[in-house]
Amino acid sequence: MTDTPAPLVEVDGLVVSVRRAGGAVRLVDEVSFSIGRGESYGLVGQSGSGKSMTAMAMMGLLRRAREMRVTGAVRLAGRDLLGLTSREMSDVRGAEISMVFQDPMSSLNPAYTVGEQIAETLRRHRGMSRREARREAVEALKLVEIPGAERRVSAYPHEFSGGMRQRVMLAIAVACRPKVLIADEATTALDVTVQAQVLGLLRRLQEDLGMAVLFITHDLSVLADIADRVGVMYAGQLVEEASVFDVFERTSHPYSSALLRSSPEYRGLAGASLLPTSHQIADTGCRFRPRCGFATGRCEQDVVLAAVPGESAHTSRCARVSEIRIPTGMDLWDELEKGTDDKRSAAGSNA
Amino acid sequence: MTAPVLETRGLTVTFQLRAGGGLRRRSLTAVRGVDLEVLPGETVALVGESGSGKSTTARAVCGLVPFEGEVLLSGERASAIQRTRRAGSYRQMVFQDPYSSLDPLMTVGDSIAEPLTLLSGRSSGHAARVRALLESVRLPAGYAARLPKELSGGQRQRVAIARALATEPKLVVCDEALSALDASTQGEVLAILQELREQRGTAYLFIAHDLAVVRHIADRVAVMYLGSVVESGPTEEVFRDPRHPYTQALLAAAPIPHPRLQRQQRAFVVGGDPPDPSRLPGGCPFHPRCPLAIVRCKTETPPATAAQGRTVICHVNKAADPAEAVARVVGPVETSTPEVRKGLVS
Repeated sequence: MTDTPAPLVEVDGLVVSVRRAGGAVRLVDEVSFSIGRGESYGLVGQSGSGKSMTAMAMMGLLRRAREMRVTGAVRLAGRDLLGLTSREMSDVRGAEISMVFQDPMSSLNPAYTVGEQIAETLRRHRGMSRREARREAVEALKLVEIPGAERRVSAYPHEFSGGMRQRVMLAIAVACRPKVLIADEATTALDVTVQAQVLGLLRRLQEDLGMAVLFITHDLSVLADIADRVGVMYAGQLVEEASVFDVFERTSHPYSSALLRSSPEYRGLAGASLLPTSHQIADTGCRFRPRCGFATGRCEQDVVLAAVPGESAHTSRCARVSEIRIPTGMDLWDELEKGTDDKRSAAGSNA
Repeated sequence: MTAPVLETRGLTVTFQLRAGGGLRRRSLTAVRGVDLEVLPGETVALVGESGSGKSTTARAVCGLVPFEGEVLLSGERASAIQRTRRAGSYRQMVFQDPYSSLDPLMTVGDSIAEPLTLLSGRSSGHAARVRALLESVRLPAGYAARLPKELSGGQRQRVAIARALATEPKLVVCDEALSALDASTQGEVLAILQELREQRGTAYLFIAHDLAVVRHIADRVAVMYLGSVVESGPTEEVFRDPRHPYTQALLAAAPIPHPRLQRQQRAFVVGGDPPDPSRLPGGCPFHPRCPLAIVRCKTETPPATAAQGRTVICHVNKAADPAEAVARVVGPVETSTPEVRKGLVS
């Protein structure tokens, strides 16, 4: 790492394990990454890869689950959140670190106006009076660009469209001006047009408030839009981490490549997508080995996340990264462009 | 030439809404005057935002909602077929959620055989047919004895497809049939649908909001907005050269797996929410959100311009021009309030 000041958020060796009949299973396995102030970090992977579990652990939401064990460190501005008591953590949650989820309808309480729900967090964390909190709730609605905020503050969740509800969720999340915002599949359920608006809003809030944003998604195209840096997760582990450009242009892990290949844009390309299902995960060595076209005997030994030779701030958990040619996101893009050109000329000659 | 497997003329679906305590009745026209044609073996996709009427159109075609206008299935009036036993040999449907579309108490084999029994009565030959159908969706024949709860989402959706194909319908209507599946499963189900089309010449009416999937599978595409088709034509041409500002906005809004290009196309995003179909604006339904709207768009319904298999319903009707696409991220507007509408279109 460089000699810049300590990043705002440091997740360090985070492990989430769950006790099962056959012993402990690691859902999150030694995950480490950091996010700077004003930076947008994208965590991507299939369902079950541990990305949401990482977010839940960061928010201190796994404390009450007896069968779960969370170890490692989550430092916010140098303070380890995992070491806090439940009471201390509830002062931090919503004030310094906030989260928005995929489904705004089930996250909002249908029996309270949106103003009351925004005010609740302000009164809890800022000790505001009802009157002050209501005024601040209007400001929060304006911040997320809800038209007619003065009027809409008294409306109930069902009176809002899906996109507007997600803005309300954002208003609650940023009302106390947190240092970190975690967006867990926050645009997945929205129409593409609304998704584009919410992504634009998130970028603006991030700039205006200087927040660090952790963006969790299964959709690499969304990260192509919003992320500065990207961590690719597989079977509870980070398998590649780099700037968003490097992840697409200098893809350095076979799994990242397979994940890119599974984008709906690339459906038309020859050859099937190789995304593995859960029973194809290896327990030892490289977890992706059973589905990896490059796997050799060496991959049966454990692999660590290591710097990609010749590149800066780019790590990969592939033992063979320097000796194989992994198809990059841009290789796929070029193949798609070529395919489209062929289709066009074929269509042209038919006409 | 053989008759289209599906033809709709002026298809209109109106729902009666009961507002508040049920004293005031309002009506909502979810689909207005839709003309569609699906030829044998062809895949036609309907795309649009939520509330555009694409699913309602699909349901009307399968006789699940009452409609006005005409629906012809292989040249025969749908109203004469829908409630008969042979309806299943004309059209079948695959729904979005394979968790609620299969009876949890019926074995996979019984579910697949049910439409066969409806069509031709009980027969000992059905068991062999079920095995063949399971194989055609790449499931082991032994799955016939299983219950849906023993299957994954992708496997259930394959069972739903096998069931839809049991009666060898000429048209299969897929209503967001891939949307609930994750990326790898989606790819596999898509491949099965294409294989079946090649083997049996099945035609699909494919409802989806995922434009990348549509581009891959559909021969022709119809873009719906507030219950009307605003643009239609061969898929590759519509995607390459969208003529309706709404199509242009929809295509620009979908993020692409290319960070540098994606960051350039960010600017061309349409504002506003998907509109409320119970409050239809006058003139062109898209004008409150349209960056290219002119005065005429607010008052006159645009005419349909048809040329070379493509139809565009727009007063402006021109190629997308990034320099003119002033549809910046303007933030949401309440499309139902006239003040905002004025502000946006000025």
